[in-house]
Amino acid sequence: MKSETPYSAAVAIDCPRASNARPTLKRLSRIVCGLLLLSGLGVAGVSPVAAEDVAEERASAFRAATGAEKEDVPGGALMAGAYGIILVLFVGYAWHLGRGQRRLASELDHIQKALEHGPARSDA
Amino acid sequence: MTAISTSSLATPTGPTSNSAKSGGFIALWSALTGALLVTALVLIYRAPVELQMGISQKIFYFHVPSAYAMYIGFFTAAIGSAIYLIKGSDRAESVAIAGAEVGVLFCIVVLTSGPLWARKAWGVWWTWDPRLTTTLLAGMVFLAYLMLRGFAGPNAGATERKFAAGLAIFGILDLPIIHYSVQRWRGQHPTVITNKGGGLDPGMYPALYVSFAAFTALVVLLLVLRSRQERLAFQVEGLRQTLSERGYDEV
Repeated sequence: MKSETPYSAAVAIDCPRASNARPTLKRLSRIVCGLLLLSGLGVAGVSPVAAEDVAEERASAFRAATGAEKEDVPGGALMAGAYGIILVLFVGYAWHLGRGQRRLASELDHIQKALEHGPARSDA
Repeated sequence: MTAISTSSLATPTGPTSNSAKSGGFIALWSALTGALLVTALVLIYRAPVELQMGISQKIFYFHVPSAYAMYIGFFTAAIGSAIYLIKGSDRAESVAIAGAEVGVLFCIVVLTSGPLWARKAWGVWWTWDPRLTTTLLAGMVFLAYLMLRGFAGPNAGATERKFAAGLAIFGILDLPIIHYSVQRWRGQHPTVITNKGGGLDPGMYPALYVSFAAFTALVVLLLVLRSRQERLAFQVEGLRQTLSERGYDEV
């Protein structure tokens, strides 16, 4: 029984169907099949694996550079920013601790003065 | 009538000799912490530049020790809260509050230094990676604990204090998830110094080790200072209430 499938669809779906076609189209179908196969490998397999390897390597080990490196994102500014933030945070926290300590010292002074004056009520 | 004096409150430790001893210890510990931090900075400066991330990788030397200090703070908060729930001691609660506060401080360091590193390494400031997300969650839980205790104040009722202690214990459940999230769900977060990691360049280890030592000393110092202050606040509040009951005005 003769297939009702158009020739172009036969190439795209199942390459062996093209074997009954004329020699020029047969060669063309082989080239298309080969290109599809190569591009399929490139898109689905080869590139992501390489990208994953780079990401995985970067995430699992730090290696020292052996020469001048060109940077696209300003790493120095990021590092300076990070060190600046940590400095501000710790200085701020030290100030917060100092303020709490001064407040407590002031409350103790207040209590000390109240003790020196004695109780206000006669029933105390 | 029992004599009341504020002299015993000069420090929470009470007697002056103990106060002098603890003051000397804190001064010594502060000097040690300062020396370690300066040494760490020198070693970080001298450490080699990383091949792929360049100089921004040097954020790692205090990002990781900060995360470790955060764990210490949060564990301290949970242990203090558990002891408070068992014994009802003010001292345990003051340690818990100090732990949560210091833990949140280091959590902020982690969550601000991390994105600065990520911008260079991943090209984005933030991603919902399992470790990042669970760290943010832990920070939010302990921040909620601090807000709850802060609103209640030093003369908080037993219910608020117990509820806050329960929250701190609940928060600690997130810490193992943070730690094992990278191994279980393998996000983008680096695993350089874990068992599965490829390790560091040998020239990077001294800076990392000294940074760990410096941050350990720093977190201990902050915990001691903050818990002493909180205990003193409890004692001042107790004294104020006693004086008020005995008829002293304006206390």
